[in-house]
Amino acid sequence: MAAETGTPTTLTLKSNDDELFSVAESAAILSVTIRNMVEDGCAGGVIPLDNVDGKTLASVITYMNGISAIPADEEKKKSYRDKFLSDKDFETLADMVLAANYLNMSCLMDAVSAKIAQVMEKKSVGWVRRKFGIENDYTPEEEAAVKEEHKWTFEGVETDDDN
Amino acid sequence: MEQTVERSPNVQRGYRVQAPLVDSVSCYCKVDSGLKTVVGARKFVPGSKICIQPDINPRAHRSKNSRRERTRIQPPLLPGLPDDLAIACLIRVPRVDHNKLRLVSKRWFKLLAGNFFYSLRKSLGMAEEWVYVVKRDKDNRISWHAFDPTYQLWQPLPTVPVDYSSALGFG
Repeated sequence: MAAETGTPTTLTLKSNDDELFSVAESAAILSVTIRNMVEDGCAGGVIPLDNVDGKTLASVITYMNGISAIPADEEKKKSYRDKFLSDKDFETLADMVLAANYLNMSCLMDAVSAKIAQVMEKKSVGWVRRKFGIENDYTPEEEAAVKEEHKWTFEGVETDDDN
Repeated sequence: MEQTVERSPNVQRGYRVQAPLVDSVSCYCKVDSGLKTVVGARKFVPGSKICIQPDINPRAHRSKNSRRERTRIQPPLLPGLPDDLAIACLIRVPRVDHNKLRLVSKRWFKLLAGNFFYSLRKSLGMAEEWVYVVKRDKDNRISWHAFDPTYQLWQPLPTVPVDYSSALGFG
């Protein structure tokens, strides 16, 4: 389509809360889901993305534009991803995992899931439970038993800090 | 083959070598209706030792039930994410934190302690290799350690069982 008009093609994406976003086709096709629509010729009108809300879609589009503006330099792309995700809380990251999965964007999926994993590194068990809202379903006796069995693993450094 | 060759002239002559067909059918019916136990079945079906395994795993049904139970009441691994995507995140946690994270919840324990988690990490090229070192101190006591080359960390391991702590060597 870009070849026909000579100007970059813009796609219109619609979130599940009816927000409309314009994004360059060259950036949007980072999503395999959208790329397939473009290749099948059904991306002409508004593309409804029923599983992504406006707030998350805005973030994803910021990422699409940012990463596609970087030339093929994996180091620079990585540092962009790190910076892009650095200030996101878990709720936002979880929404982005869902969106990246739905949009079939492997680079974003890898980056966000790695970020969630990274958050847990060197943290205490209690911190992980609090941060991710996980209920401790061990009875005190069971927890003590597991801890006793694995006590040699709790000698390493662990922290309750956010960093 | 030889039997067929022999039987053909018998049939032609008008008498049977084998038991009558009707009798054998009724015999199988009897087995079906009277089949209460494996031992009982073996009495009726010659050679059934090969077909019917008496050592049926008594836990087979229980595990099926408990799986159904689990899917009904189990909490998500990571609230806000379906389990497959939560696992996609958790397999990226470095190995050095795995044992500690088993304490987060019972489901995390099952996931992190199970083979599925490791096979997934291995198939995606995320498995981390550690170096295991057995050393003997000047008092001839044996201890072992693991070295994590990625994070350049020595990892503690459980103490060597008493039976082996003064062994002269392994292998």
